[in-house]
Amino acid sequence: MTGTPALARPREAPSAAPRLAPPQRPRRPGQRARARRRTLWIYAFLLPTVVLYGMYTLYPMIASYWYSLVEWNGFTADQRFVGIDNYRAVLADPMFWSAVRITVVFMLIVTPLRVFGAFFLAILLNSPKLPLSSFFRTLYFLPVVTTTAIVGVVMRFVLDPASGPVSVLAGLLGLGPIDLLGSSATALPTAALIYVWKFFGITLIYWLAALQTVPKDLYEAARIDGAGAVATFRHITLPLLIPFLAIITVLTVEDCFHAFDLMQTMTAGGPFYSTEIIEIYVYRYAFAATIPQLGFASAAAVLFGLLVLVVVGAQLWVTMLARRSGARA
Amino acid sequence: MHRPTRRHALAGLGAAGLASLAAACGGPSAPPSAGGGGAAAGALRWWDHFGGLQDLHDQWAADLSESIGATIEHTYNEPSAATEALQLANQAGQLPDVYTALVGLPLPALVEAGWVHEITLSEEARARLPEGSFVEGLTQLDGRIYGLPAFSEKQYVACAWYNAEIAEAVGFEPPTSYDDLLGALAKIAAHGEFTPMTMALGVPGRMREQADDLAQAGGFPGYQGLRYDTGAYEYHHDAYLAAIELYKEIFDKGYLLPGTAGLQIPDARGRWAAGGIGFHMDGPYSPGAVRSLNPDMLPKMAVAGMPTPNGEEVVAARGARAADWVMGGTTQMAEQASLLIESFTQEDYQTQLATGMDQPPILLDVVARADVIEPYAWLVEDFSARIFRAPQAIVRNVEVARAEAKRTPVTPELGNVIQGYLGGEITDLKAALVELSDANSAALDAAIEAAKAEGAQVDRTDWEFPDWVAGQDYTY
Repeated sequence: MTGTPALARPREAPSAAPRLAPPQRPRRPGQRARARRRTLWIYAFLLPTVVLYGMYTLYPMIASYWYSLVEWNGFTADQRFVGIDNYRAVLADPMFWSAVRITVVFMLIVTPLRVFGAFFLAILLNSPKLPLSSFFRTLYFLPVVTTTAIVGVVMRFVLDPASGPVSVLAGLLGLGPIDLLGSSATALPTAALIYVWKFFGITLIYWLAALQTVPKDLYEAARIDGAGAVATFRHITLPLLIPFLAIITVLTVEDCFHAFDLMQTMTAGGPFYSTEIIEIYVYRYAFAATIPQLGFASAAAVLFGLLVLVVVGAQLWVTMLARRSGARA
Repeated sequence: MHRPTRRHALAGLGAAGLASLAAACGGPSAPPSAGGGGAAAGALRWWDHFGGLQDLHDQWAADLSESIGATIEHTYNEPSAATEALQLANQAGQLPDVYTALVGLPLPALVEAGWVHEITLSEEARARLPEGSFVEGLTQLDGRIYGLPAFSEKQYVACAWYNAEIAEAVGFEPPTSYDDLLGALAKIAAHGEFTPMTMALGVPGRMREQADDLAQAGGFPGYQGLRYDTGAYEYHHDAYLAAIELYKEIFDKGYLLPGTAGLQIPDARGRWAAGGIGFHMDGPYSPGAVRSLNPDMLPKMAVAGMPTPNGEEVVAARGARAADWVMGGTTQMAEQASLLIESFTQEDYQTQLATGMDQPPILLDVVARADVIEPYAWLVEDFSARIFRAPQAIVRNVEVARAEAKRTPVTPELGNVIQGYLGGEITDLKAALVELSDANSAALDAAIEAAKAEGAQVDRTDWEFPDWVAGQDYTY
């Protein structure tokens, strides 16, 4: 807000005396009983969620920590405790590090495109001057509600170098057949772009929601002060949306680590492991092996979880530092 | 009087919820109905993954229900999820009564873990099958039968199927050597109207199988990288190099349909079945699958068998067939399930199996009497003449199964190496194959050590068969 003091929100004057809580009137017995019943109902309605969350999220998480410490093929009941041997084996496997690298590269391609692309599109779609803005919002959100696995299968046809529309178009332009998913040089960027297209709408909604938080009276004041569209964007919209950038980026980064269904249906990790993200690596050992290695796969999954935690933690830390330095400035 | 508090109410509610969950999830509940979950009372559940045989099996289930005195519920176990489905069924105590043995563990481990149940076969049924069909460690243990082989082990999967109409239009003879094949592909390419070839390059497992077959026919004295004579891994043998270089040349010269690098098995087969492509490397089961995709293609199908480097006669070896059909370890209908499995040895079933033109049936003779296309009959005859019984470590020493159960997968495997070499990610093929041999050798050694640590009497020499002779059935 530097340079626009007139538009700054007045700060509240610090109170000289500590603010006291208003005195609470003693509740009557009837009120207490009603409050208790209401609270009971809240817990009762929460119970199914808590139970299902526990069964399908918490329990598998805890179980995978246990499985990562045993040798188990899933075919027999025999689980042999091996301590951290599975972790040692995963960390010594070059294919694991290859999967880590591919996952990070995928995230680095997808995140900026989703975050900044959606940001600029949200600015456009938020403009009151744009006709059919609701139609366009729906249009961009449509891929989000389609089944990801179906998108993967359909995209294989769309990108089919023998008869797919992309290749036909390339042929008309004299470029010949293009095998975007069949070449290890282009498969990952292609998959990343399709992923961006598929989930672009979610990030767009985040930004549109963030834009609704900018007070309209600020725009009104700016207009009265003679600020143009660029100045309004630079001095009002952008500064007020910066805090949202951190949370939207965190959510998008976290989202980028879950691309299994799209990648499995489009490339299954190929060609020659060039699109093998960690989730496919885990799947390969847990389910696609002749004799599944559930302990090994669980160790890889746990390490993957830690990686996500580290990336998101680092992001939050950097954001916090930026805020502090901003506040000092 | 003690009044119930909110805590008491919540605790009660939670306890009730947990109790209902516990009741639903486990505990000493009644055993599943004879057919398992979802089956009608007294029904016998039968799962299989043979896509091309589903109509036959549905009808077989309906016809047989009356004679065995139980309703047979036949279900298609879709191959891509079949192993997971069986894994989940086993953990839930809901294994089908009869199923195709897709679980990767060797038979002794399956028996020990309760996956399979002993099958009772009549003398008449045993007599119908070829001699040596039941092998200790693969289909029986201590003389007790646990699995039935329904198909013949005499088959190879690197068959050069081609379109006879294109051959006539372009003018090439069935290729027998690598050069013949490359020549035929060059002619198709030069003709300009057709695409020379396609195959399922996107499936490493299928590429591995084809390379194993081509290498053995090309002179490798073993199978799946393991030499019979020394028991050593040698994926870097010249025969493997020659086979992979053949594919590389086909790839580099642009003979493959664009996009073949990523094609899955049904995709590749479907493209070829459409009629505009000359060659398709596929197994003997190709006609059965093509019929379901495009029946008009069937009369145009021709096969050149398996090419060899210089057109030598194919001499191949395969181990005894493992169990195709097994009985669920928890079955409550062992008698009826045995009768169903026994029915697969009947000549009318085997004839219908041959008519389906999937894998060759265990009774190879029925193919001559079945309604099959001529190339399929020729191929089965070729198998019969050229494929011999290979030695198997598990047959000589059943303890080998304990080491096999401990093996960890090696990646990249042969199919991945081929994919990487064709795509340009691997530039030194020989070095990659040496690495593959070393990795497989280390995995086998580690598995043997792990099995030994648990008391198994197994040694690396169990994999050595210095007396093996190519072109002869191996006897122990």
